[in-house]
Amino acid sequence: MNLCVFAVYFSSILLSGASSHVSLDFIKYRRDILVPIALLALSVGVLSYNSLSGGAGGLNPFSSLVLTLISYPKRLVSGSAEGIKYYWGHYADLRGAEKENDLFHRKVDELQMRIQQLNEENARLRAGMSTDIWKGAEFVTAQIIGLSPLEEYRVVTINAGSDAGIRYGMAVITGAGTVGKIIGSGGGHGVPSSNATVLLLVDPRCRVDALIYRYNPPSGAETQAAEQGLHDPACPWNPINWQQTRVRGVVEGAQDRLILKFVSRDADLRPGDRVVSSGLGGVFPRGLLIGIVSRVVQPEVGLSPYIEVTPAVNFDSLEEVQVMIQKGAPPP
Amino acid sequence: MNWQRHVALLCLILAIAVVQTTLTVLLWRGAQPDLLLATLILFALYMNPATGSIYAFGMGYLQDILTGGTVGIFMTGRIVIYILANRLSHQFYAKSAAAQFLLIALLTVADAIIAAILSAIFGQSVVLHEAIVWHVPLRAVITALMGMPLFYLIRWLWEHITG
Repeated sequence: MNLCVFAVYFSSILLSGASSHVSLDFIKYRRDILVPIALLALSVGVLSYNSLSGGAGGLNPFSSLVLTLISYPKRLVSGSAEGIKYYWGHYADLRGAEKENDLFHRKVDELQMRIQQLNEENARLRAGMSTDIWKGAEFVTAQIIGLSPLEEYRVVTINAGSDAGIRYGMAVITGAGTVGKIIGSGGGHGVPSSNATVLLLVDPRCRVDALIYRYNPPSGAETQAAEQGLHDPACPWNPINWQQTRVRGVVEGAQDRLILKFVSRDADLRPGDRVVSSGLGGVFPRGLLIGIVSRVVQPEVGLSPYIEVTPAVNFDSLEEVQVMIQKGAPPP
Repeated sequence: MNWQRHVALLCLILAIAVVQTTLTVLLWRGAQPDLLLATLILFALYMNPATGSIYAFGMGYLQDILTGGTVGIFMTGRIVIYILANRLSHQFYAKSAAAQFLLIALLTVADAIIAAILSAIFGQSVVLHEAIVWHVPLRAVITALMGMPLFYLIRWLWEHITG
C-alpha cells in the first residue's frame, strides 16, 4: 500500500509540473517516458512483494472500496439481466407457476443438502465413528452477482460479505456438491462487508485434498429401502452405499473440469468413483462431494496416472450458493 | 485534462468493469470480450503517455482484484500493453477501423501471454497452453469486434458529455 501511495504522489508531482525547480525540469520534460517506466517498475515491485508475502494481510481498504462500489451496479445489472432472461424465456400467464417452480427448486436444493447432511451423519453412526462435522454447521445463502472478467480466472462475486459472517477461506457449497472457497480482495485476506469473491474449484489456483469412494451395492434392509424409494438411486452422493478406498490425491482445477493429481501409478481407480474432500487443509470439511471420476489414463512413462474428474456442480448454471460459516463441532 | 474529465473517465471505467463481469458473461459464455483492455488501447491512441500509463496502472489493479489473483500481474501487463499500443500507434496510422481491429486483436493475445508468463513466474499455475490456444484467439477477435463500437461510443460520450 505504501508503494501505491508513493506512486500516486510521485505521479501527481510529475503531472502537475508545478515545480519550477531546475532539477525537476529534466523529469518534467521527459515525463512521457519516465512516468510509464516508473509505474512499470512500481507494479513489478508490487507484484514481487505480493508474490513473496503470499497474499497475507488484512482487508485492503482501497480494493474493498472499489469492489463495494462495483457491487451495487452489479446487483442491479445482474438482477435486470436475470429479469430479462426470465421474461424472454417464459409466457406471462405462466409467471405464477414459474415463481412457484423456482421456490420449489430452492426448497429441493435445501432438502438435498439436508439429505446429504443426514446421510453423512447416518453413515458415520453406522460406521461407529464419533466425529460429526455437520452437527451445528451454519450456512449463509448468497446469490451470484458477478463473474470473472476473463475465462482463465474462474471466480464469482456473491452478494454477501463480512457483515453476514463470511470470512477468508470458508467453504462454499450447493446441494449438488462443493463450489469453491472464499478468497480475499486485493491480494489480502480481508472480505468486503457486502460482497465476497469465491474461487471456484475449476480454477487452476484451487487445490483440495481428496479421498476416493467406490459404490458398494446395497444388501438386505438397504435393498428393501431402495425398492421402497427411500434411497433415491439418482442421488449423486449417498455415503451409505459408498465405501472409502485407500486412494487419495489432490484435486486441481483445469478451467472446466478437475484433475486428480499425486495418485500412485498402481492405485485402483475407475470411472464412476466419487471424489470427496478429505478435510485436510482446514478449508473444506471431510465428506463434501467434489466430483465423479470420468477418465483414467495410465501413463506409459511417469509416476501418476492422468485422472479427470467431472465436477459435481454445474458451474455454468450456478445462481445461488451456501457459504459454510460454521463447520460444526470439531471431532472429540 | 480538467478534473471533470478524469471523474467522467473513472465512472466510465467502473461502468465497463460492471458490464464485463455481468452482461458479457451472459452473452458470450466461453469467449468474453475484454472491454477494459479495449478501452485501455483507446486511451493509448488518444491520451498522452504520462496520463494514460496512470490509467493503465489503475485499470490493471482493477483487473487484478476482479480476477482474484496476485495483485500486480495485470498492473504490470497493462502498463506494458499501454506502452506497446502507444508505440505502435506512432508507427502506423492506427485510427482507421482495420488498423484498430488488428491492434486490439494483437494486443489481446499479447496481454494474455504476458499475464500467463507473469502468473507462471509469480507462483500461480494458470493453464498456459489451454488458455492461450482455446480462449485467447476467440477473445482477441471478439474484443476487437466489440472494441470498435466501444471506441465510437466512448468518443461520442467524450465529445457530448465533457464538451
